[in-house]
Amino acid sequence: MNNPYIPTIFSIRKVIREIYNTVTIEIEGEERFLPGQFNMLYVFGVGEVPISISGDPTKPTIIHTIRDVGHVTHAITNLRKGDSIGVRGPFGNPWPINDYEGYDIVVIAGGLGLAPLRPLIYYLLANREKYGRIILRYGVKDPASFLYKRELMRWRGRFDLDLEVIVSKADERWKGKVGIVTSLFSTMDIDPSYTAAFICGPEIMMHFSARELLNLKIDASNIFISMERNMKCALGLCGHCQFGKEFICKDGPVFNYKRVERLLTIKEV
Amino acid sequence: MFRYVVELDDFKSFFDVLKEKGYEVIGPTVRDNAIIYERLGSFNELPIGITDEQERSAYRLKKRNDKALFGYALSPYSWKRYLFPPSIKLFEITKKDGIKIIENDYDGKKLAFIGVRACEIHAIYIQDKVFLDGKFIDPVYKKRRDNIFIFAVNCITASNTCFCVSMNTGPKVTFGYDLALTEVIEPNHYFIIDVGSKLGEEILKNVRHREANNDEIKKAEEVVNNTAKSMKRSIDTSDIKELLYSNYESEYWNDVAKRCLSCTNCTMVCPTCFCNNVEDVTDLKGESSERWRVWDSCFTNEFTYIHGNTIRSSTAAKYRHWITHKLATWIDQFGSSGCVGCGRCITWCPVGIDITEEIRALRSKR
Amino acid sequence: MSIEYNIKNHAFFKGIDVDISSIANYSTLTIFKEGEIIFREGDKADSIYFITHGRVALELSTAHKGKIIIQTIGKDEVLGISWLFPPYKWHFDARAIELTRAIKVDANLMIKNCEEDNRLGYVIMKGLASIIMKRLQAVRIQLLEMEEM
Repeated sequence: MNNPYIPTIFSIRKVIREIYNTVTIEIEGEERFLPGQFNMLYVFGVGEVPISISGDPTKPTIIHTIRDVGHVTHAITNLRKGDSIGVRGPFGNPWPINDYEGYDIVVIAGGLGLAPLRPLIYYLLANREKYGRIILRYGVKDPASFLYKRELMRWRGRFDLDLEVIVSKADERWKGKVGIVTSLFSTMDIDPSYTAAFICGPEIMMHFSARELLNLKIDASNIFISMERNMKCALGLCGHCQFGKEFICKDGPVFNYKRVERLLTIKEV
Repeated sequence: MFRYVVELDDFKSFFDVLKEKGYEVIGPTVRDNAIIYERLGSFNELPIGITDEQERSAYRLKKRNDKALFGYALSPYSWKRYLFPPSIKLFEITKKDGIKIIENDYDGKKLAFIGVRACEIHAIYIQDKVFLDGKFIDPVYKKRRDNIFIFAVNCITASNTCFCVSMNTGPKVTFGYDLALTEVIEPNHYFIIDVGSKLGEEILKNVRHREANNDEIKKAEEVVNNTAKSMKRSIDTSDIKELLYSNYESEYWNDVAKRCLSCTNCTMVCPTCFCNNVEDVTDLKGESSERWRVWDSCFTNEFTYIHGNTIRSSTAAKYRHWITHKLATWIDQFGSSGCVGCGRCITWCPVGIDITEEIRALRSKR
Repeated sequence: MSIEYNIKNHAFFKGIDVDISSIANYSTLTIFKEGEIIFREGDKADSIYFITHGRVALELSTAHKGKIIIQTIGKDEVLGISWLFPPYKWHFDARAIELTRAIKVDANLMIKNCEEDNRLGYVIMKGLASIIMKRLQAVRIQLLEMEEM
């Protein structure tokens, strides 16, 4: 029997420093995954953490973007080219993008939340003809916190992708918008009855974004968010990631907004 | 169902027969003033003539007036200790000659559990759902579960903390056993044996037995019925899911939080609680590291820790999570309640929090 | 004609069914070049700007971090509401961060107009209240987000 606790050890092919505390690592080895899924990354002797996959699903790569927020992620962000890393995965339910062919697609990202959405954007661009308008709204803390800056520039140059970004605060050198991501919603040219939205970011941002999308008459059943909790096994066996009746690792991390809407408003679930 | 009688003297040979078949026998025995489930060398290590008194925050052993082998209600131990060990090495990884992972074989010894109660069989089946029926199978649990022999016991006494009747999980053993016994002490000491599997039949073949007559069977049923009748506690499980789902924001949880110490006792003694954590242990040279899986509890702060925050940090939220999981979300997750009415959490709570009382109080606040 | 047309087509006035033509009497169309200061913190607040093109940054000067942009205001949004309440002074600096066009309205005359024409006054105050509410909500979310992002 295949032991789901055992990671496969790979070496790191490339490390890109995205922003001051965040890196993107490219791992040798191939993996087929769907946008929105995650891997468990293991660092020798330190531990294991769940990290969303942020590479291109049309290519069999293993790419992750990791922010230094704990001792395992700290260890990962300090790894160099050639170092070893353990991988288990992919796990979890993907963004249900195939259910929305023919729809306008709204992608809302906050901060590091762009990482699990990037595979979705790659997928949409690779299958551009199957979808209506594609709209990306991305909010970050300040102008120094944009992930994938070069890619954002490239996407902004496309006529078939409507991208707007906003920062929460800036100094006077910033020429763009300042405010919250929902203030970018008024410029979205969508057909609400044929629009699906995919949101990832801090819980509070997802909550307000979803609420604003509901105001725009997008149906709650067409809004999806990606949740995060303490995940130890990713197999539905350790109990840590429970959120009401949901196990984030196996019932999520992508959830229909309708399904989790109520629990999101309750403290300490 | 065929039922047989095994006399007290012949019962002893089950130990030898099971050992001959390669089983290590695990059963009840007295240790440190408690009945625990341990490896048994012989029949004599059973808690002969001992019973237990249990109440909220109280557990004590007492002598019985007879020589009953299974005359106690329930051990603080549960069988999960053997199927889902408190700590086990998941794997070892070494860097010595290139990086290499050494898998653990998870020690799937053949174990015979003697003295498994009806509620405990339910608990094992509930954990089966968790560890064996999902998308991913737990290899540790599977290896052990595949190799156990269950010798069940119908309860001849209920403790004051038992409430299996209301949870529909006992005291009569109805499924999931290889052999099941009912102990009859008066006027003669013998055992009525039910056969639940081919394996059970094979074991029984090697022990002297005869077919039971109607009187003996009736007597055995009476014993269990009396146990059921004597049970004092209960939970009203009607609409229990809705009760808990509609009370996420109840003030009541703050009331429980005033008493609860978040000590984790309830989760440790619960026969269905399955939460676990992993720990990495590295040697001093940093050349090899081991990954261990250990029991965990939803009452700790680390349990829901995620980059800088504990999601459930208040005791109110922790208790709410535990009881809501046990009695409500479990039904949505695994198709049955997570509570079998064994009452261990009542006995072993140091401040006397009683799950049956908490549900009653929550209902009355509605 | 041109000012009235611009006023009627600004999002603030869209869907309003009261006569707003009188506003044109005390309004002018203005253009701010990139980098131009529209008003400064502490100056007397006596205008309201209905932005028709471009983007304006509201800035706060701080001792150790220099200028911080608090919010940007763009097309179809409203700049400047400090004239509504005492001390009638701007709370922030406003700087055009790109070429910006706006309808500049004399706030004192608009208040006078609103007091004489209560129907118009009600509609305008309701619109301004909604802007204030949205900004308050945004600030709250911003505060929460900054902790998390």
